[in-house]
Amino acid sequence: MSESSEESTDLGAIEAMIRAAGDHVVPSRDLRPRLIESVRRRRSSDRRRQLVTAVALPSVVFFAALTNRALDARDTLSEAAPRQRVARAMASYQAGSPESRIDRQFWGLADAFRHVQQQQAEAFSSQPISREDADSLDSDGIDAKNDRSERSE
Amino acid sequence: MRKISFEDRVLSLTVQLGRPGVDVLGALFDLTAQRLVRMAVAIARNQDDAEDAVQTTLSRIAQRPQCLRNAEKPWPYLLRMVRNEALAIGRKKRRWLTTHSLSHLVTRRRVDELELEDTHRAVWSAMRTLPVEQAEVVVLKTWEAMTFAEIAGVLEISPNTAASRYQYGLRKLAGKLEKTAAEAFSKGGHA
Repeated sequence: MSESSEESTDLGAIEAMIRAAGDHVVPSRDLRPRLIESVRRRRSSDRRRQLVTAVALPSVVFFAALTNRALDARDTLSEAAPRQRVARAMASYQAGSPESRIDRQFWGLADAFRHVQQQQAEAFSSQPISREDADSLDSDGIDAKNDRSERSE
Repeated sequence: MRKISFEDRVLSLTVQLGRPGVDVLGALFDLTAQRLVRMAVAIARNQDDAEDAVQTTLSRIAQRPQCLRNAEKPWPYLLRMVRNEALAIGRKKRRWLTTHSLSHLVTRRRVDELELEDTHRAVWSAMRTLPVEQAEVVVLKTWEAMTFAEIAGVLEISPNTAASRYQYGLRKLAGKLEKTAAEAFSKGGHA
């Protein structure tokens, strides 16, 4: 009993000693200005960021709207002038997309074929008919007549 | 005129935080910094880390005052924030714990307490030998005059755990401070 009361008295004295030492450690003098400065700097950087956001966002929206209007205007113009569309199609044909290349080859072949046909036709019409050819044509005509008459008999 | 308690003053400043043109943060610092630094030093065990913990906590509160404003009891909440910050810094810089001596602490030297300086230094030296879990309970119980239930709330432990940690811590401190205490009392007796 006396031992425990002695111990509690000791602990009480120790507690009192600890309590008295509570104010011994203090913040350094520069902590307050350091804190205020860091908060001020942070606030100003936040404000700057807000300002940038406030300016940049409407600018982006404005330029997006502007670009959109410009594209709309171009589309309207192209609808109003079909020649431009034809010119664009021609240009793309000349630029040579894979599909247009195939078309070009096909039409080139067709043109070549037509050209050869035309040449043959010209050559044929300009060449004089010889006597033998005329006779053979005639005899062919007589033979055909004979065949028909034989069949009727 | 009724004297406003420390907790009520913290609460009133917390309500004013975030108002433009009022140096509420400065006032909150003046009111709480010494106690917050004391708590942080007991955990981080050196002045620089303790002050970093306090600065980070108060900056965060200045940035988002609603976290403190929404707290049911702002003062214990503030202590918990500082404690968590000091523990986080302590984890990052574990090597500092053993290399820093007591001379790195910023101390107050009152003329009328000069003869008690050795006793105070002995207390702080002994506090630094305690495990952090016991030291923080001793700080909250002795210097913040909290009940074990309140300490349990701040440290997120049970009141029984808080009480047993305090008992262990106090016994260890008693063992280290016995001689100093005897000297201090004999001096007091002579005076």
